[in-house]
Amino acid sequence: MLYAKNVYVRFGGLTAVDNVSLHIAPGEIHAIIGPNGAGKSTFFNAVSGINKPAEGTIEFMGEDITGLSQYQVAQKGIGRTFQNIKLFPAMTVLENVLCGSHMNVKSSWIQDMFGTPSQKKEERELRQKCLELLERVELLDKKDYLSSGLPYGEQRKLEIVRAMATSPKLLMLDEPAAGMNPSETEELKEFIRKINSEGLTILLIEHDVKMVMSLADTITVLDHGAKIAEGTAEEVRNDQKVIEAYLGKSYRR
Amino acid sequence: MELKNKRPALLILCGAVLIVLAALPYLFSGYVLQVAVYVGIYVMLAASLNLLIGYTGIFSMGHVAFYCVGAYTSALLATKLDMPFIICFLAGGAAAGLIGALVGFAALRLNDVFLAFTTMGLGEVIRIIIQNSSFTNGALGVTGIPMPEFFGGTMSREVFYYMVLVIVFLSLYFIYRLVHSHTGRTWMTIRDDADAAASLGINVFRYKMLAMVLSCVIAGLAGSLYATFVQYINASNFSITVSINIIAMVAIGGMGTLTGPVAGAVILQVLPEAIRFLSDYRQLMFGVALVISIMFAPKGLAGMKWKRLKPVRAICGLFEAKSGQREE
Repeated sequence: MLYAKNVYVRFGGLTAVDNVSLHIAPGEIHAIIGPNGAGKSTFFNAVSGINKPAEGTIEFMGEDITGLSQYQVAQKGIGRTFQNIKLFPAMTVLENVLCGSHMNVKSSWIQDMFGTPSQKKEERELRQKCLELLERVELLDKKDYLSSGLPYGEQRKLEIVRAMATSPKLLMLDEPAAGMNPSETEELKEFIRKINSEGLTILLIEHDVKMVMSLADTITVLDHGAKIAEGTAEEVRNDQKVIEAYLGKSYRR
Repeated sequence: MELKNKRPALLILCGAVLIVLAALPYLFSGYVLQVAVYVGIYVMLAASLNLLIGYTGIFSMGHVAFYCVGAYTSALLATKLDMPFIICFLAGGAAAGLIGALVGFAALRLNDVFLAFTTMGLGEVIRIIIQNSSFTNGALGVTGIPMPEFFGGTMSREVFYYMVLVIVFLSLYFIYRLVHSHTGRTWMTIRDDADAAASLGINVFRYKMLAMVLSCVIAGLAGSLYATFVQYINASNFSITVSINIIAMVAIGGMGTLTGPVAGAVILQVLPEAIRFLSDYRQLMFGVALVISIMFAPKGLAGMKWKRLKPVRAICGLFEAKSGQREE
């Protein structure tokens, strides 16, 4: 589904992502882990169009998306969330989700201005769809809450739901469990599993290794910008280089 | 739905306002009418600037330039080419929109304070070009701008007032429709977090440009009305202080609300007339009003606590964009 081939991202003299290749298969949960500063987020941002790769190509569903802007990448069908939650704080839960679906709105601003029947119909359908989505993720009873008034865990969830409203084919989650307590993390894990089982391919960056091990089908480990291991949880756990990167050389078996 | 129980209060208030507005030419002399037309023009300016500052988060300080372009385009077409008013009016809006697109193309890549200064600078440049170009009569300004034709004769000031009234209401209606639709919500996403907006597939630059051009068109139309009504314009009428006045109207009224700029424009346009006896201290009173509003109503009049008063809330709540400001 997503092929990254020999991707390099450089900031001046620093090579933040160093020759990383990655393949995400449709339907899987793919995790990228690695110690702090390993280049996980930079790689993520290179895929989603915030940083441009210096070299290498990124292909999505057979299309070259290297170097596209953020909104173009999103329009190709890649949704994402941010490490520090970026909701629209002055909007309600429902409005946040509505904004997620704007990408697919057909009415033009002129139709909006005159309030034509087709625009009104589309707006009604949009609302209906978003309400259904909120019902599916059990946020319907909070639809009129200000998004900034939700508890932390639900703000995370809402950000994911908002990205889902763009109807992406691939959803990228940047440290979704950051700052969560164990029970919130558990809930989130169940939630990610649920949306994955409904057919959404997921790429996530996570620091919570325990969560990643029990959730991901494939794990890629980055260290100092380079890929050092890839495989299932079991394979990665026993990989010498991974143990070295996380625990130091003296823990080598 | 929920709107239904607000209807009676709203209908009564709207009716009362409409009756007063409609009866104005019969109740008062020419002076009040003149002030009323200015208020109308400034309502258009404040409401259009609010699209940028309040809804899209574009802090433009050069709004007067587009007002100026609209006024000059309309005035020159009317005096040099004897065009009928309707063409001057539309051309004023179109020219302002075009210049707005050019300014926007350059300035909208910037953010925050850089954008504010760039728009302020570009606005001044436009004014200075107009002031020094012989095509626009330079510092002498354009004189003898004719009033529109109306059923074979010249339009009276009373009829002009009604025309302004209709145009103001139409602009407000279109703004209301836009901010209550997906276009308006998209603008607000950009205001709140442009990165998040882009991650949802929203072409941020395109929507910023749309807000800019629409806002400038409305300012240009207001400029055309102004030029036609006062019949004489001069580039010094369009100095930076006007931009700042419009910003003050939006800020005092309440950014990102529909009622706010209207209230701000009415107050700041009527207040100076009411305190004319203070003569030299008028600018000072303006400053005091601004400071007071920032201290006690940082969200503007429309965001003030007295909105908790039931009738006030009922009226405001109906007009405001749901995603605009609200009390926590």
